Amino acid sequence: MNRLHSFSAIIALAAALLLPLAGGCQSPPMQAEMPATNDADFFMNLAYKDVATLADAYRAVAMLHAGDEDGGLMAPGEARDYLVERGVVPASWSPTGGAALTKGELAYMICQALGIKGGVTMRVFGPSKRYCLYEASYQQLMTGGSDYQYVTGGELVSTIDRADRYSRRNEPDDHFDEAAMTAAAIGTSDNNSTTAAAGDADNAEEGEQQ
Amino acid sequence: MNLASGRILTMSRLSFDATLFCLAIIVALALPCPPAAAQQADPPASPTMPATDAAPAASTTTVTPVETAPTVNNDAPAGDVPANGAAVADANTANADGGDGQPAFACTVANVKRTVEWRPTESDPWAPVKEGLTLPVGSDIRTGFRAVCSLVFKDAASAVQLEPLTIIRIGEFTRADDGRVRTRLYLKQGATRSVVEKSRIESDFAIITPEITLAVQGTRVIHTTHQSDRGTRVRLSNSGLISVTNRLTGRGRQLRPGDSATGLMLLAIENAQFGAAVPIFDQYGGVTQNEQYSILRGPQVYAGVGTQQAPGSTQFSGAGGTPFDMELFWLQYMQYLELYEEWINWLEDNYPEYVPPSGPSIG
Repeated sequence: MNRLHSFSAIIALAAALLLPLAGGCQSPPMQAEMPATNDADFFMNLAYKDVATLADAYRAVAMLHAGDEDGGLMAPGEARDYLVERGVVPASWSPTGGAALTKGELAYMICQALGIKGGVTMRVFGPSKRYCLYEASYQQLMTGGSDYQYVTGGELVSTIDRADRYSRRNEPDDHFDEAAMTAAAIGTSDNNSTTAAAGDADNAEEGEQQ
Repeated sequence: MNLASGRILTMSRLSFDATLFCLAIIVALALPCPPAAAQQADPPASPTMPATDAAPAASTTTVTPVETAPTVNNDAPAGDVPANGAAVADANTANADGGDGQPAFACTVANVKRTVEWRPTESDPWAPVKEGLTLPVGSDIRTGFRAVCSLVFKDAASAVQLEPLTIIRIGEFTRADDGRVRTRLYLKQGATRSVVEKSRIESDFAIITPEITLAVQGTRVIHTTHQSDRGTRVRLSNSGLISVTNRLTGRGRQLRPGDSATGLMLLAIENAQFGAAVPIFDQYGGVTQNEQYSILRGPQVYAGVGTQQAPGSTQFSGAGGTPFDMELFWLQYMQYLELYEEWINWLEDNYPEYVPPSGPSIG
């Protein structure tokens, strides 16, 4: 009787744990893919998505890995092939990428794209999704959490932004000229619309536009 | 135990197990799970900014100029214009016409790199931005991957550089009766670097993110970043003073060059190196300006939560009771001394035989 009682309790407990997986919890509601005309359109649409997809990550990380190469916005399949060729994404990952993106998957792609080797554990046992997430969190590229948590569109955009800054951390910040900005702000240039480095041709064009 | 009671006991155990099994199923079915939803058909071609991104009412913003306003040249004509010839919007009307029925232009675009687009209103399509383009009030601007552009405002005082992956809207650009130009930028996503100079046209410049309102005046290089997963971060680089206010909690703080703060109004220590253990005490962290003033008036007491004692404090504590007011104490003490001196003088005048006490005085 004691064995029967224990067996019944085990069956009940197993049912309580496994029943949700059988048909209770579903994937998060996915939004249909929005056609994007360029990278600005893509990232703005992405910022408003509740849940990012793996295909979104393929396109965003492909752009991150390409860097200054003017490849533009790739299609999801093209982006995946690009990443698989360069070892950023394993070939076993979904070719369509319609599933929701998890933090672990995003962290894995980010670490591979940026060449982050991690610590002893990552180097010995290889980069796994969990350890990549730990490393990305340590590098302040991603917020903490579990590797199976889903990623929102805004978080994906922010992560790509931080990852890009990380990839260019050793480069000089040459696209911000404080003196030129100040001069433009107070209107020390002739037209108050271009920086001090602008030539006379731009001034003439500005006059025509006005 | 006879056979009958044993059978009864067995039956009760089986029924108990069955009940337990049924309860487990009921609990499992009652667990909250996101329901499977059909994929959205016909998504909108271009998402619009949510209603929460709309400009907050003027009364909810707590913009405080932290520096003395520059002297306004009152002799200048009311319709004074910056050097580029574009007129600032008329007073008392937001988005006032520039004079010929066209929307007032707020800024000019400069230094465009890679993909930068704009649209006049939410219902208009996106168009690429070119250098020299003038943008009207209400325009949305978005930058792509590694794209930057600069917005030079027509108040002859401010310029903003948009960093990559930024979504921003020119919310306001108006001129009040007192000549102050009011500029409001709504930063939805991304980062900006702002330069606001003191000029002959008084400028009221602020950047509004979903979390905070950042008021600047006479300040150079304010780094404002808002990311959906980390919130807002503000950093002041070179010079000036800025006031940052969290609209939700009402708490704010002022940042000096080198300071940076998050939406929680917590100062961030970016670089620190200590030779020994140093207790870091942010005495004024997370308090309102009124609370900060009270603390400054009574430096020996920290009038906040808990029994923390500010540096240099004595036996007084801010936990419960009435905070000790040093300034009031000295004021009352000086009044007492004055009264004492007046009394001594009165005695000497009215009672010549009175001899004032010798020795050290009370004060």
